[in-house]
Amino acid sequence: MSALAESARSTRRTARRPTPGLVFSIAVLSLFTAGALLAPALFPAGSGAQVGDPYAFPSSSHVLGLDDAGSDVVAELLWGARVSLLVGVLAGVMTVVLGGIAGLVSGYFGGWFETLLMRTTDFFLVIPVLPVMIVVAALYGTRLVNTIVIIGLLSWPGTARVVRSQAKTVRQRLYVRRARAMGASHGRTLIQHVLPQVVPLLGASTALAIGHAIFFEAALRFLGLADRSTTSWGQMIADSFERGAITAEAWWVLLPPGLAIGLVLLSTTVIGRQLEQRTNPRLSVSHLGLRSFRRPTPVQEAQ
Amino acid sequence: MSEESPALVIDHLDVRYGARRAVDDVSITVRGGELVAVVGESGCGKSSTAMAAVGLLKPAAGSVRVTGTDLVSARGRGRRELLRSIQLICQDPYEALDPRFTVEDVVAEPLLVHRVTTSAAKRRALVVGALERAGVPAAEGYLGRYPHQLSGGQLQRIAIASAIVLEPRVLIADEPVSMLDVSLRAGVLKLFADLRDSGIAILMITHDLVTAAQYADRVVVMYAGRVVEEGRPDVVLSSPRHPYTQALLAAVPDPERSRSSPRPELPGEPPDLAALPPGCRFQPRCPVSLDECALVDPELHAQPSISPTHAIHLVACVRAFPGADDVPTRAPEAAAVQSRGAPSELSSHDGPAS
Repeated sequence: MSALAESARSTRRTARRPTPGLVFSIAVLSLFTAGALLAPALFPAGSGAQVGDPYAFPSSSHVLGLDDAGSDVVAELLWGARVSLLVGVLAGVMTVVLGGIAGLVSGYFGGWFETLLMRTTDFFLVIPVLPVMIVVAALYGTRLVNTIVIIGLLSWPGTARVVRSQAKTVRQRLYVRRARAMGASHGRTLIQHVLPQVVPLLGASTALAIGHAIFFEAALRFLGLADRSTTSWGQMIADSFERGAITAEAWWVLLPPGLAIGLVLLSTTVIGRQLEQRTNPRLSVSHLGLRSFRRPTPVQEAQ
Repeated sequence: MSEESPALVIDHLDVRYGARRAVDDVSITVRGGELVAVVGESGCGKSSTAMAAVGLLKPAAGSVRVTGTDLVSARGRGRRELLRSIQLICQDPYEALDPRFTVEDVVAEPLLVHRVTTSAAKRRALVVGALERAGVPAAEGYLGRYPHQLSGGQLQRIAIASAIVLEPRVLIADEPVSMLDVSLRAGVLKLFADLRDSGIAILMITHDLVTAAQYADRVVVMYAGRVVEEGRPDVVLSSPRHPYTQALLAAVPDPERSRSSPRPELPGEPPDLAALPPGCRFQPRCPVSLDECALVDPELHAQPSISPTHAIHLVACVRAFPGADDVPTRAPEAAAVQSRGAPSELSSHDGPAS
């Protein structure tokens, strides 16, 4: 047992050292967040303000050139980041709150309640996301709030499943049973003993959910199912397609938002996976199933 | 004292896991200031009895009365009040304490659960007091420590502090020393003896007969979900009447026995709890069983008092029934010689005559 504990401890120690990927990811997210926050100060005219000729080539005054309306692509990118990141964070948080509660409660209580919740989860899991989003956008309009709510409502089942399995193992722990024997209520036991064990997992899920939400928002924009009064990275891509940026060979209009989405999605995935690995050193395959990693054996550690 | 109801009465308790009858009609009474040891091998139902006693398992039948009130049927506030009077100490102190809780959090948790005081200073005073009573020296220095920074013995004392901080009437200790280093066991057991002397009723689950003999006021031997023998440790251990108790005693390593003579071993396995034999549960393994043992499920019967202290000695064995042909203690061995043609090693501890 002590050997196992020893290996777990050393695994954690090696994981503490931030990997280059993690540093890069945190840098990317910090950069975009700072840009989004500073957008009103840097470009007070807002997005869509004409500052020169349409599709002007990148120059020293406009590093990423101008788009079809003659507005600065940097300004568009930073103003767009506000919407993209806002949707990402809010929908991501909504995903994790819904999935976290469903997973925690069903994993902790078990029984018919768990069955009911998990069948609901299965139901939501098999719903194809995009068609539903199209229908909802058609029925309830394309306001930003709708986008956030739809993304949140359709992505919680994944989180719920992961959280449930963790809650199920924690429920069996002796200290949870001891708390119950001492007379602690279910609510107290859940919050004091079960939730803290699940929080790291929720952190990882949040990072992943934010990335996914940003991606879905872009997809909705591309399909024209979003509010045009604001811009976002997805909107920039959609606009460049619709307004002939490609025929104009204005790659500087198309590439930045695409790269931004790609980089943010990559960063949230890296951060989410690293958080997951750190908090669960015994996890051999992530729930995304993208890549498995080996836990160093005590022998390897000793070398 | 005598008119007051006993601190803990486990009354005709049944615990079932599906078809398996883990605990079958078990009754144990523990009075304040008494330490009762429940002894038996793994799977005999002793831990299930403990879990049902603290309300973690719902028994199929029977009651658990804490200071006279039934815990099984209690709900809501009444149940919470009862749970305050009966506290559990678990076998594995490493698992029983939340790794994210400091020592202070662990010991203060019952106080918060039962809303004993809103004053943090008072709470800390109670915590320190409980730690000191549990034998944690310089308790203040431990308050901010986490379980992983402490040893098993210290953790078990902290778990005990957490169990006594509410001044309970009853403590249920589920093998409280079996995970500890042998060198630390005596200290923790001494602590239980001290708590008993302070008036707490203690039900200690153990598989260690020697522990039971040294610290308990009464020993309850369980086999396959039943109580088979009960009595004062000196009586039960010096003149065990149930063949299972005799077998358990014979299994205790004895340095005086020569190495060449093999340790007696009980043949077979405990019965399947889902398909119990119709008669005595111990009959298939019993070295001294009679024909009627396969038919009669023996009940606990009081033995004629052999000591002048009028200690109650209960045995569930056909051979030990009053009026049975062979009442004397030596009888099982003699019967074994007759029926099996081989001397039974099981009663080798029986007395000087062997």
